[in-house]
Amino acid sequence: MLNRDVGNDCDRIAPLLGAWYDGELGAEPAAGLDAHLASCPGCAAHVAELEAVDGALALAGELPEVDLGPAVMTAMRRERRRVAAWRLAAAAAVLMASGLGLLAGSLALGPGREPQTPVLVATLDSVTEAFAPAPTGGLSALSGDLAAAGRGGRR
Amino acid sequence: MPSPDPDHQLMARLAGGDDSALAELVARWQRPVLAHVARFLGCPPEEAQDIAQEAFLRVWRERRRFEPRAAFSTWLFAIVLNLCRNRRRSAQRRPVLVPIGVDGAGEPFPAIEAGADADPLACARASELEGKVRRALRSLPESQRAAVLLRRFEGMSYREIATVLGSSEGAVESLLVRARRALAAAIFGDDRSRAQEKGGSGVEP
Repeated sequence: MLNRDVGNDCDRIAPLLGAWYDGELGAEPAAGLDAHLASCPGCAAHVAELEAVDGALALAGELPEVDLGPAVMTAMRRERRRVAAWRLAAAAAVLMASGLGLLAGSLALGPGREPQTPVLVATLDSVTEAFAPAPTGGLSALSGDLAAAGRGGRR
Repeated sequence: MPSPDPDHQLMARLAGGDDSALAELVARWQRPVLAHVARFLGCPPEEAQDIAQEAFLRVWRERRRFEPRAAFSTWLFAIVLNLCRNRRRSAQRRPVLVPIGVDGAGEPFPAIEAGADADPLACARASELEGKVRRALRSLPESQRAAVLLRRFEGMSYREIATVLGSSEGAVESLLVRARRALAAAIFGDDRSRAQEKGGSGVEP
């Protein structure tokens, strides 16, 4: 609500007519304006113009009936799957990075110790499964390399 | 205590992982959102649907960032307005792809249906006025146009409009004054001068 002092001259009242029309003037100034409008044809004509503009805007149109629901839900699920795949890929990358670290460590230690390499390979297999039937070779190729490296390490 | 506002309840369900709440929000809000986009951009219905769909997808993306203190309507319309402005800018960069308002092609709304017994002259006048209204709206600056549409069709208060536009109530008041003055001049300008010639009051549409 906009609280304004309303006098009785049109120059001061004219800029307030819009707020009055929209019910945005406080009760007191609005009452003052009601009184003025009853006796001032110029300001009353201005209000009639505001009404006419509102009336004409009805012609800005109504839309035909459509339901966006199915399209929005499909787009949302697609995005949810994409985000999930991204998270999985990021997790896999972290696993691989730490796995490579472990491998490097075990290779440096020599064949005497058996580190967690088999665990790592199993995890990567489940990751590639999650991505099937994606035909791209990225992760599977990498995990294959790692498995090979793992076998090499155990030899 | 859960908030009694149905939109707030739906947003809480959405944030909690209940996707079906999104379908309910779409069902509640798609009509005003679609109509607002089409009136604001003066674009064909397909483009309005595209933008409205993207707006609801954003509602889902931002579901955990919605503040229950805010009104859902102002939050939603701020998203919608933002998308409309971006679309307008990218359309300006490649104007050839957006055939808006060329000889009635690409009009956002179907023309008023003429009944079998309709007076053809009255119909012609109605569609002439319709065209004037749409052109007048399109010629308003974006903030004025958004303010006038949110006031007229969403019944928003000055405070709510200010929240959508990120401005003040006083700024909204003056946006509306300027918008309505410009609309009156563009829509009734000719009739007004005609009426004045006849000695009328000049405010009849």
